This record gives sequence, structure tokens and C-alpha cells, in this order.
Amino acid sequence: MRFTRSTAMWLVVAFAAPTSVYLGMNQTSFGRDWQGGVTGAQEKNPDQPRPERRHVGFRECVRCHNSGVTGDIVLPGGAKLALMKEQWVLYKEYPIWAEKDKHGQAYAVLLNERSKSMGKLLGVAEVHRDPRCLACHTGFPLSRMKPGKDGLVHRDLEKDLDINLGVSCEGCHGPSGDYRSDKVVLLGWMDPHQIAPKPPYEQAWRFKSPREKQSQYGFYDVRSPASKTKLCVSCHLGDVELGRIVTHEMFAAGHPPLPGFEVETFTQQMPGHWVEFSAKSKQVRELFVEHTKDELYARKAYKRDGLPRTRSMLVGAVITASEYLRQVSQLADEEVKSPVRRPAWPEFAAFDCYACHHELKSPSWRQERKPAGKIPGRPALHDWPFALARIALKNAGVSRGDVDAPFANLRDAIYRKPFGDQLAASKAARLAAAWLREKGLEIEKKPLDKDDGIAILKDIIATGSRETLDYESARQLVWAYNVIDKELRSEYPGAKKVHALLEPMGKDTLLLDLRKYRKATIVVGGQRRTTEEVDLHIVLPFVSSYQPAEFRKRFGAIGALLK
Amino acid sequence: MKSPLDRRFWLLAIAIAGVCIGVRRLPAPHSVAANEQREAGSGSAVQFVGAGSCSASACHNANFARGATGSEFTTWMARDRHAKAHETLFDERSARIQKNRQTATPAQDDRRCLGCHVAPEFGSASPSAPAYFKTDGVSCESCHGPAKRWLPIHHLDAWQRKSPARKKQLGMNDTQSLVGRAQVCVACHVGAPGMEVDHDLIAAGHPRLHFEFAAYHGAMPGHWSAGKDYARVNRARADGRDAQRGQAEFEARAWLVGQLVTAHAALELLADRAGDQKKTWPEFADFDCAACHHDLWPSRPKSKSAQRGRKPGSLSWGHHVALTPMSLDALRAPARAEVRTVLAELQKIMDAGPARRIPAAKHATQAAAMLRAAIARLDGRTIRDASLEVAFLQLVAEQTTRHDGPYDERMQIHLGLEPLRRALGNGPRAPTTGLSVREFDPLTLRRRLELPRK
Repeated sequence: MRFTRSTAMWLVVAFAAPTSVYLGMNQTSFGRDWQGGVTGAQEKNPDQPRPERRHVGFRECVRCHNSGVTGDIVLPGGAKLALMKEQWVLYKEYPIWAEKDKHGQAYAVLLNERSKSMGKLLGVAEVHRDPRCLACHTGFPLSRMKPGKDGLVHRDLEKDLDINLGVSCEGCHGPSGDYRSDKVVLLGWMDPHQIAPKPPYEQAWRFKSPREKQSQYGFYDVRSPASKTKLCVSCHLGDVELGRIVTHEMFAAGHPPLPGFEVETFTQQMPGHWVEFSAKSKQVRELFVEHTKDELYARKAYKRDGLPRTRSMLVGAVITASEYLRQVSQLADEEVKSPVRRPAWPEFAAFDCYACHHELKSPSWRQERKPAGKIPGRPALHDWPFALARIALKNAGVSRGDVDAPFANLRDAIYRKPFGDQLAASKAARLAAAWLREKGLEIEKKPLDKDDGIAILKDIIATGSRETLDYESARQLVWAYNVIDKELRSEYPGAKKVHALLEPMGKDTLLLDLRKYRKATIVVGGQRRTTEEVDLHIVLPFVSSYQPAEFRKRFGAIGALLK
Repeated sequence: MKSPLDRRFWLLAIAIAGVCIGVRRLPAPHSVAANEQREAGSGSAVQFVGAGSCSASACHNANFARGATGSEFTTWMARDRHAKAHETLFDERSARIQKNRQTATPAQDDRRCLGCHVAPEFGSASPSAPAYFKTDGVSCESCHGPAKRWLPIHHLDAWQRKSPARKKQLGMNDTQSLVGRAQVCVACHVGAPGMEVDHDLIAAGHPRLHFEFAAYHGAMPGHWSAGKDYARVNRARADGRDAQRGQAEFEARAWLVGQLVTAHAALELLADRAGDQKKTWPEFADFDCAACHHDLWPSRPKSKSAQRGRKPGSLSWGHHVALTPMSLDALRAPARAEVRTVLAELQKIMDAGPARRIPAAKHATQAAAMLRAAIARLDGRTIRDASLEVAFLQLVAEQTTRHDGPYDERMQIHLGLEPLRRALGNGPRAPTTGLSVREFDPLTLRRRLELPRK
């Protein structure tokens, strides 16, 4: 059974109370003419070998997701009609994204001064036309932007809103249109996702399993923390197979360093354009748990107070570590194909920036640490992806010996000589990544309770007060602490005093604050836009001035409060 | 006078040595040290006699003033830090280095260390060499060559009439010519295959190698007659010069020759590292430390000359060859245009980052061979004021345009300015750096040379 758009709309609307608001929506004002353009043209291109769903574009999404309803409707006579009691869907996803989410500026920054200067140094005429940049700086599929002979995509693409709005809806949720050819039909999720949860619920989009949504309709699973994290870090760390690689050359030309990633903290900074499941209304939650085929939310597995954000943070940490190692393995494995020109090994970007990039001075805390690979001076892998992953694994009951096993091989391969033994390192990293992934998926299935939360808090503090951590690892711990603290609503002994100690640290150096920016005006596709650019003058000195001894001391003091 | 038997013996030895060199000529680049070893060794073990054999009071231990003839041993013993080269292996830092390298062998017994902290040929020395030889540090034979075969005859009149090449066949290195002298130094101070201060060693705590021949030469308490050095330079001048000018010109020449010999050593080392698949590539020690070792900072706009076509993020290579073309010009060395071309190509490969090792090995080998040929025909060549002046002005220009270039390169420029300026006497003047070799330490110098950061 295929639903027409209007039927589907009607069903959505019928379920959401009240319906009147949506019935008044002028559906005809959004014609489908904009779908012509690049997308349509390229689909007919016989050179396009792989069936890929059509990127429909944000205009289709805003038909529903732009209502921005904030208050109740006042009826004639003064009575109020409450809106959106259901709270499954916010319906103001677009305005939140458009106003606050920096993903919407991802493309525009390719036209700023920094990008221009990068282009000059890299010998790229226009970085906003270079697929290596577009792979992350727009959510539009890379495969639909074929570069010309000069290696750059067509100049006119700059004017296409679906490209120049950066990472928009389908960048993270998946291309939503159908793919049809003589041989293959791939349905997109645009139509089915509008099927409302009406009894008997068989077709209801909401209750389908994430796996079905992904495999049948190409809807990316952003509910599962593991899947969501993997999606985020495909840009925030990189993914060779997707052409998302920030090379050392790009960094050297001026690309800002990629900060360590923590899925819950980053999500909060976006900010989220959804209602957390635990915050949705009771009625909608119960109905969902009753009917969903999502095993993470099935009746047995789901607990409302199961610290979902803490769990997401832990799963995210393990998956981030896994993805980082997968990336290392891909970079070291020349057999791995990439849609963009891939860098040769050793690619310095696979390693910890600050392993090399620090002033030469002695004595220094770096020299007091045990070198990662026993022998000092070998480029080291990033430490930060493992800071929280270790805590997550420990909390999941994985023994220290089991954690160390897959990493022993990796360490040996990576540090046997400078840049590692390429083949052995690639293999060991791939295996360790797979092992971590498996563990991450296991952790994902287990709800936590309050005691777990407090135990993890304590473990975070113990780690921070015991180890000499680098800047990014320290930041991971502070972020994670805040995630758990918030979810526990600071209901544990000593919380207030801990805040007093933690807050100044957060303010001066360690908190992620995407608002530390300077405003800039950029002309994109003929439109003037205001963007917020990372101010490296604020951010980078934090790294240079960071003192691990001070951090350890403060964490020690916090630990004393929690005892 | 030699007996006929003597002469036959030496002819035979030379013939054998010749055959050995011919047979053992390797396609791969080989180091100065290895060359010396091959030529001196004639297949048998290198034989040292120890500094004690030189220190008879009637020979080199007369205890006169510093540098005076006859008190070479005394000067070295009392003032030259080379004498402490082995002793330093007992100190706390050396112990730490070994610990970091995860080796249980104490530094004072580690062959890896002894090649430079005692003698390049140490590893191949005859096992019968006296054990106390190690404790001499870098002593007479470390630079002058294993003396077993020349010790009994080097004080004879006949010895003085032998050519440097013949002396070398008997094991004595040529330290009279500037080229020969510099070649002795670079084996350790730049490095040679098997005698390397690589990044692993530096990260373990070994100081990074910095070298500029003239500055080091000037800082070393000489145990030879500087007057003879100056006189030799004057003799080489077509127009003849007074003794005072001799010194200034010697220094300028030392700087220029030092540039070439150093470049040659660096190229041979690079060729070896790039050509040997078992070795680390890239080897960080080939590059400017500060290329990586700086805090990340909001990018400062780099001048075009600092970037000089270098791919962003590639390591800064080339401080040992940056001034080679200029030095070749000033010395009017043969085939300088060809060297320049090969070096430019090599620089391009190294700047493309990550440098491809096979082309790098090929070009480095080629450049080293050409430079070796040029250096071999260098000594005794006259330098004209005009070419010195050109070199000087070029350095001044480099100093200005490359003010934000790599640290090591700026160091070489700075160190060349002073000797060239002095050699030109009343010629054009440039700001002097006032830097001495004592400050040749990256940690302090980097701060002095660099503009304060904002």
C-alpha cells in the first residue's frame, strides 16, 4: 500500500491534536519545481552506477517541521486550545536548526576569510567547490556533486539552498526520496514517515524498527546512541570511505583543530531539535513502548529513569573510540577506497596533534608521563577517545585484562617504529575498532540506575585525580561529569560543593562552548549571511596553558567531597 | 731513507687497498666515515694505539701555551670538550636516555653511542685495542685516524713530503685542508649512516645536532697553529695578502667550505634514510624541530618566502642545503649549475610532504655525488672579493626575506653573516648577530631569534 502525500499528511494531522492548525497550512505554496535542479538531472545520468536515494531537500521538510508553535491557541471567546500535548514531534525542528544550529553554517564558512586563505595555501581555487571540503560541509550527497576536470564541482551549486545550507535535514536523517530505475526501486522515507500511529499500527512509521527504517527506506537511525554517534563522528572525526578526511595538510593550511567529541555534550550544544524520550508525555511513551519494534525501547529493556543520556554518553564514548581506530585503520590501509583523493601514509592527522605540536621545554609534564609507546618520540595516537571509553567498559564489567588485550597488539604495531608498522597497525586498529563496537552495542542495551550514575561519577573523578591527562582527555571527563550530574539532577551528596569546584574549570578552559565565536558576514549564493566563526585566539591558548597537575589537584579535591 | 723492501711493501699495500676500494665500491651512498674505514682498513681491523701513545712530553705533551706546537695533547686534554665525550656517557642524562630507549646496556658500553663519543671506527677496531682507549673520549685518533700504521713514521721528514692521499692510505685523515677538516667533523656532528642522532634518540633526551663548521671550529680550543691556517689561505690567493687579512679570509672560507661539506654529509644521510626501506621514513631528525614543535596558535599569515612553494603541513627540510648554491658560487666550484638544479628538484620532493622516499633517495644520492665531485676539486681555489661580496649580500637578503622561515635555516644565515662581513673588511656592512656557538642551543636561541608572539 502506498500512501499519497496528502493522505499521509492527513493522518499525521489527524493524530496530532488539535488538527486545525495544520489544515490551514497552505500546501500548494511549496511546489515541487525545485526538485528539478541538480538532483533530478544527475539521477538520469547513466554514469551514476550506485542506486542512491534522492535528496529531496529541506523545503519538503519545512512543510511540517517549521510551524514553530510555542503557545496555546486562543479560540474566539477566550478559551485556550493546548497544542502539541503529544510531544512526539516538536514540529519546530527547522526554526531551532535554522536559528541556533551551527550545522546550518557549515557551507557558508567555506566562503570566509580563513577558507580563502586555506585555498591559497592548498592551491585550491575555491574551497567551497572542492569535494574534499563539501564531504562534511554540506549534507548533500557527495555522489551527486560530480567534480569537473579541475577537480571542483560546478560553480552554480553554490546557489542551491540544499547545498549551501550546510548540514541540513537529510544530511543526518538520510536522503528521503525514492530511487527508481528500470532495474531497482528504492523507496525513500519521505512518504512512509508521514504515516501516523493509528490502530492497528502495522504501517505506523513510528513503531517500525530502526533497522527496517534504515534498510527499507534509508532513514538513518539517530535514536540509538551507537548509530547516532557513528553518524556524528563520520564528520567530527572523519571517515575515509565517505570521503570525510581532514588531512594534516588542511590543518596546516588553517583548518581549525577538530575538538575531542562527546556525543551528549555536542548534542546539547547543537542544540537538540527534539524532545528526549523520557521527557515526552506519558501517554505517548506508553503507546510507544507497547508497540515499538525498537529493541532498545521494548517493554523489558526500557526504563524511564534508566539514565538514557548517561548511557548515551558511555555508548558514544566507546563508539567514538571505535570509529577513531577504524579511521586510523582506513588511513593506514591503502586498499580502502575513498570518493576523494586520499592522503598517503603516514597521514599525520591520524595521530595526536599535541604529541608533536608543543613548545620544546624542559622540564615539562609531557616528559613526566609514561610515553604511550614505551619509547618516547614516536607519534602517538589520540588519548582522548579512550578516556571515557575505558570508564564505560569498566562500568560494563569488562575486566581490565579484556580491555587491554586488543590494544596490546595495536600499541605494539603503532609504536614499534615511528608511524607504526603500516600493515600491522591497520589490522590491529581494525580489530580493536570492531571489538569496541561490539562492546558499545552491548552497553547500549543495558539501562542504568542511579547507583550506576554515582559510581561512574566517582570513577570519572578517580581517573582525573590519578592520571596525568592531556587537555582533550581532561575535557572529556569534565563533559561527562556534567552530563551525569545533570541527569541525576545533582541529587547526590556533595553535589553543590562539587559544582563550586568544577564550574570555574569549565569557564576558563575545559567546557565546550561553541559560542566562543566572532560574528562574520559572508555572501553565499548572492545572499548575505551572518556566521559565527570559531575564535582560535580564545580556544588555542587554553591548550597551551593547560596544566595537568592543576587539573589533577582539583579533581582530587572533588574526589574528597564525594567520599 | 726507505729500504727497497719498505717501498715494495707499501706499493703492495696500496695495490691491495686499491683493489679493495674497486671491488667494494657500492652503488648505495656511503659515508665519509665508511670511506675512510675502507681505505684505511685494507680489509684488516682498524688499529688504534690510544691517546697515550701521542702524549710523550717530547712529542705532543710539552705543556706549553695553548695551541702551541708540541702541546697538542695538553691543549686537548685540558681545554677541549672532545676529551670528555666518553665521560659524559656516565652522567645522569645518559642514563636517562638509555632508560627511555628501553635498553639495558649502559651508555658507556653501547656501540650506538661509542661511534661518536669515542671514534667513528670504534666498532670495527681490533679487539686487541687497549681497553682504556674508550675512556680517552674523542681523542687524537678519532679525528686524525687510527695510528697503528703511521705512528712510527709520522715524525719523519719523509712523512711531510707525502701527499694527503698517501697519508690517508696509511690511516691518517687529512686535517690540514679545510675540506678534510670539515669532513672529519661532520661524520659525528651531522651524522653518517650508522652514526645517527635520530628522532628516537633526541626524544629520549639526546640534544639535537646543530652544526655549522666555522662557528664550531672557532669555538674549539685549537691545538694547531692558526697562523699556518691563515698562511695557507694567503698562499692560495693569486694576489697575496697580509697576515691580518688571512684570518678573516680563513674564516669566510671555512664557512663556505663548511656549508658544502655539511650539505654533502646531510645529503648522504638523507639518501641512506630514504633508500633503506628498513629505516624510518620520514626521519624527523632531518627536519627543522620547530616545524612541528610549536604550540598550536591561530595561524599567522606566512610570507611567501617562508612558504616557498612548500605544501602546507610538510616538514621543513633543507637547512643544510639552503645555502649550498650560494656557497658554490662564491667558491666558483665546478658544475655548480647542475648541483643547483638537482638540489632544487630534491627540495621540491621534500616539500611535497609526505616526501616520497624513492625519488628522494634518487635525487639525494645524485646531489651528494655531484657535490662530492665539486668538493674534491675545491681546495686551493681562489676566492675573489667580488664573489664574497655577492655571497654576503645574498645572505643579507636571505636574512631579510626569510625572517619567518625555518629556525635552522635562519641559524645558518646568521652564522654566515659575520665571517663574510669580516672577510670583506671595509665592504658593505650588515647588522651583526652577536651570536656565538655557545648559544647554539635551540631552546634559548629560538626565543632570541623570533619575534615575540602576540
